[in-house]
Amino acid sequence: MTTLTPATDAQVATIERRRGSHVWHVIRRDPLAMMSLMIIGVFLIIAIFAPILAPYPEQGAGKSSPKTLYLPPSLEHPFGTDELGRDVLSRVMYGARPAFIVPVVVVVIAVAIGAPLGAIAGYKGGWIDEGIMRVTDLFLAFPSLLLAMAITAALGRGLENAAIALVISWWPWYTRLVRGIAVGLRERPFVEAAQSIGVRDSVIVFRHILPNSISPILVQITVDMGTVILVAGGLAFIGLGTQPPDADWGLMISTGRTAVLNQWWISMFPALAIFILILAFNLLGDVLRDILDPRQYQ
Amino acid sequence: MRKLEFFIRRVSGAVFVLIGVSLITFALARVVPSNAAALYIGPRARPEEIARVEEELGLNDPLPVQYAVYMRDVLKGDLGTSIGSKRPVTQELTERLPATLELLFTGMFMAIVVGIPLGVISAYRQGRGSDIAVRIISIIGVSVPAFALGLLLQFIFFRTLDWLPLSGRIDSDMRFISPVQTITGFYLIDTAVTQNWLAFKDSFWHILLPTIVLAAYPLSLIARMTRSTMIEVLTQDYIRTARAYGIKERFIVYVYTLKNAIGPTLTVIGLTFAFAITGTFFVEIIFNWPGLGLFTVRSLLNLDYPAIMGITLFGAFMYVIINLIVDLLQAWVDPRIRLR
Repeated sequence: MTTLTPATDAQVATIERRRGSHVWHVIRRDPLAMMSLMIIGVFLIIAIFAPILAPYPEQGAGKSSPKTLYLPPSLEHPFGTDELGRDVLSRVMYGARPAFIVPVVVVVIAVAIGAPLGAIAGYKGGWIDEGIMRVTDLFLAFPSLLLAMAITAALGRGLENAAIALVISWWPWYTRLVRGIAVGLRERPFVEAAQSIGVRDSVIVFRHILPNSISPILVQITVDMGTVILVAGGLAFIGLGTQPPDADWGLMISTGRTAVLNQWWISMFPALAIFILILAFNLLGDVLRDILDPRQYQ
Repeated sequence: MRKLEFFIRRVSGAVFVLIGVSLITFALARVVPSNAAALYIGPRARPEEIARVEEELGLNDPLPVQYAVYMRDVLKGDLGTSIGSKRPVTQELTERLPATLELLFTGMFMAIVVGIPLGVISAYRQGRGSDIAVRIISIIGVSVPAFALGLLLQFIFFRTLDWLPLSGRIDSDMRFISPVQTITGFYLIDTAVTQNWLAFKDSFWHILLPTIVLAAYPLSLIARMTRSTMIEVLTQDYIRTARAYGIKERFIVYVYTLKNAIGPTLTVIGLTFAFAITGTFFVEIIFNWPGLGLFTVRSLLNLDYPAIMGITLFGAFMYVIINLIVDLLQAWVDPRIRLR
């Protein structure tokens, strides 16, 4: 009874650690999950070290090469060259960068906005809950791609605005998730104990409710990654995301689309890349979802 | 009485959401852009034109007044004038709606008709070959972007095999050989009603690939959801009792179990139906399908602001209505929901 708050904090930390090692344990024993994790790792390394790994770094970054237009795959250019003569392999490697950066930034900001709102809504209840949830319902009433398109149209095209647009259509999902968890936590003894010794609501939300929501949030993030990559790729495909000459898979598929019947390699290799990365995230997400089903908190 | 109460509650909820949707669209259309008037007449506007449009749109009025005017126009069906075509946006949208709806319906039809049985088979033969096959198909289905799948199918079925047409809704020659008489705007229905079988066959072959591409994502989600709820229901006591009574297995699976497992699947159908609205955009671009999506993308690229805002409002409207219909359907199928 003497040191109630520190004790619960320590407990929370232990539970968190135990849960974390449990997740790792399950992933390690599931060959599909392990493979997905490795694929994601390889893509991440390619994204980070693209300037070193790419055979033609300058072309990967956008420099055209008029002498090598539309070359089919060969030893020199394993994935062929595109309509501006650039090495498609290097372009695909550089394209891994926005493919990672955009979804990670989007999800992190969406969680930073959505999770505290959800925690407050679930913890406080009453009209605050009602108000916050009605607003999230409104944003969820838009198909996310449509909302993102309208926002990029209002703000202007480009990678940053596409990311902002995706954040605006994504945060409500985390609000919903965390609210569900917070409602469950509100009745738990360590929260009630904190309340009874007069801990401020803001401290309870940030030190008790949110830390206890981290596992399901992380699972949800993994599950969401594939979808965010898909939608971000879609925005780039339409021409609202990355702008040329920067490399982006969605954009590459879009520009290579007119040549697909004869120079299939220009669009097919980036298409394969985006497919494999999304598949890896979805497979990993499936395994994680089975361990820590966020739905159980709702 | 409960039914009516539930109905009123859901419909009023949808109306509330629609008002909110109109507020957000209004904000995007008028408040967020720093110079909305310039956006409304396009990039080559002269200053005096901008001033005129500012006056016309009432951009100098207080926001509540602006919103009221905006809503008055929207309710009258006036979504402004497209910069690109100089025609009313509403007209542009309604002209293209049938093409998109036809694709949306065939795609969702295929997703449901194929997805549910796949999920049922997968659940019933859990752990065996057919189950694993269905699970592989469904994880691929949710992972492949529509634009990538579309291109791949075009490459295989048009370029390599030459079995199916590349793009479009119907062969352009069909205008002379056997023209489609427009009744509903749905080519498959119009040609069938007028017994124009030549055009029917042609439009069927044209819609086949776009339908498959559009169906891939919802089909996979529907199969997955059906599978997991079916597995749950199949282990229930009353299913065992039904078996003990010697009721035919097929009847048990497709009637007793499926009826109780369909609820979550309906939710997924509603969600994916809405997702498919934006899915049609990509399919339309790839297959040059003359619907809303192709118009949207053209508007986006030409910065046709009134058109974009019209589409956003229209799309969100469709989305809310579809979700409402699914909600009501669900309550009709599963009376327990009405009590909540």
